[in-house]
Amino acid sequence: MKQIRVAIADDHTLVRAGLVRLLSSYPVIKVVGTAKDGAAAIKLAKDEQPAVFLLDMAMPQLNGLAAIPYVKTASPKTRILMLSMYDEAEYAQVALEKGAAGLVSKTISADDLYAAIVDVAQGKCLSVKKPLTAREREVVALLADGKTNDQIGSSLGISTKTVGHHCQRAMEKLDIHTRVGLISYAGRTAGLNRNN
Amino acid sequence: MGSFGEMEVRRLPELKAIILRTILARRITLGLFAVIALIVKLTSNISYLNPLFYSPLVWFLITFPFQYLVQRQKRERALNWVHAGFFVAEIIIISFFVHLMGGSEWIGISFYLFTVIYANFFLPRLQGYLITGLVIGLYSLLVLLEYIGAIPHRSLFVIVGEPYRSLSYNLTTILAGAVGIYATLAYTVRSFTRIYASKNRALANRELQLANLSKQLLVAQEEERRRIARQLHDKLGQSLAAIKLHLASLRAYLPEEEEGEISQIIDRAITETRTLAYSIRPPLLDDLGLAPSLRRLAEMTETASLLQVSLHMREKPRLPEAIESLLFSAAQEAIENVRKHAHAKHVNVTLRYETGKVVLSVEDDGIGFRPRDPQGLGLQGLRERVELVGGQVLISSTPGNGSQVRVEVPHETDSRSDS
Repeated sequence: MKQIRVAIADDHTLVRAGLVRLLSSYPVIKVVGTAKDGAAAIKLAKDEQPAVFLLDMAMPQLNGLAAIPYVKTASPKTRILMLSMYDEAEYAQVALEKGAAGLVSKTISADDLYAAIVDVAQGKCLSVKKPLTAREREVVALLADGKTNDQIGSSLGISTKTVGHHCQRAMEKLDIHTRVGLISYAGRTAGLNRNN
Repeated sequence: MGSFGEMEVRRLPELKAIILRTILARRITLGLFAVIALIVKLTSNISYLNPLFYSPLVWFLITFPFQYLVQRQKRERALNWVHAGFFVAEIIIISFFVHLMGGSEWIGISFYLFTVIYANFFLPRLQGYLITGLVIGLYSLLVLLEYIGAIPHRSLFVIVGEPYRSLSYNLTTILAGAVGIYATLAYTVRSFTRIYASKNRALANRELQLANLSKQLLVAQEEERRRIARQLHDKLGQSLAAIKLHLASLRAYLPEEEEGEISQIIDRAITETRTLAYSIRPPLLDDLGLAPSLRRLAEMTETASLLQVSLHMREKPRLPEAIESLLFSAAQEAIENVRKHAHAKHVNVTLRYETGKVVLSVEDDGIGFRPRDPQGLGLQGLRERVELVGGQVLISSTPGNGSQVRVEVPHETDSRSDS
């Protein structure tokens, strides 16, 4: 894979250093520079023309959201991946509307962050992820146990149709398009859910 | 100056109600008087002068047109003049009555007392003193006319000699009796009213100050909460995130299981920090506004419990910050109550823009409660905050039929965008 040139802007020193350290450990990624505010980020984009710019949403001088159009002007080919402490879907939605390719939480796991950078570098946009409701999690967990909609309905005391509805919503939220996909997702996360 | 003499400015309906009450009180008294007089006249052979009976009856009757006139007035000035007109009609009737009773014999003085007291209590200074002057003038005129013999002197009472024929007696009546007593009375009533009014004003000022102080306190409290939530999120939360990133960069040197375990602990700390910050004040509210925050609240509720939340609202331009945070707290509090106590399956959250106000309603299909039952501290605090901005909280519920919390906050909506 071709090396991905990544720039990072974050006002929090430790976060910035952590990101540099973590991303540098991936051979595919080359960190080309860092900035600690919006204004510096625009200059960095102009100077380095990075493939992906990790832009913190809340920064002094010029916050990340407001900086997006300037970064785009300074370096039209740069894909912007917003970083935020807030991982609410609403923020992701706003980031996409403002022209970013996606938003990731600063608390994301290393592999997910790497995957997000690679996806964005390849021209994809990250989908807005909404958390599953407690009911949806229940339904998905029972799916993982190999139950049918009928069985799930009777064990939760809801109608089969409602179970189907919950499955549909869960699939939309998880960006999974088949029932098999949902079952395999449920299987993968089942252990995790039980631990919680 | 207020219409209550020197008292604070009152609103028109309140003033009208008080005037109508005094008119009604007169009507009842005079009506009773007329009935009793009639009974006495019919059952005894006391020889009454007929006008002595008719004049209270006329007085009784004029209360009706004046009641009508008072009710029709739309401005305080006009109302005061109508009220003054009523007093004038009253003292003319009283003068006639006094003449029948033996006016110059001092007893007449007592008949005007209530008119002077009332006029100076209820009317502004000009009308108050005008009525007082008119009383003094009419009574003095009566005494003088009887003295010079222009009108006959009558007396209900047995008097030794004919004192009304004495100039010095009549001058004493006019100067000491009418001028002295009425002027003093008018001045005294006005002084008392002034003291009463200034105390009232001071009290109203204090109340206003107190309300302002509470408002400032709320703003300060909200500011403090915002600051703490931001610090938690942006400082503590980011540091935890940084630790996690640093840990991840050390993966190559750590046993996978240990790394995963530490990572999970950090994740938990991050979640705890976030939940705490969110419960103090959701940053979303400042950043993106009420609608996304309510969506997030619904989402969080559904993530954390089996309660289903339906949101009904239209996207609108941002509301003033104070209203947004108030309505959000209201929704938070109401949903929390539903979760804890209602045993409900669904909750409907509706945000509506009505003329002059924003209405948030939270309805559930739970077990309900009696509205008179003691309410939680949260709901009480909410009520206070809402009332402070001139809004109201309405709670309705019947056992078994769910409950509704309706929060109304005054706000001028731009009607053009409200299609």
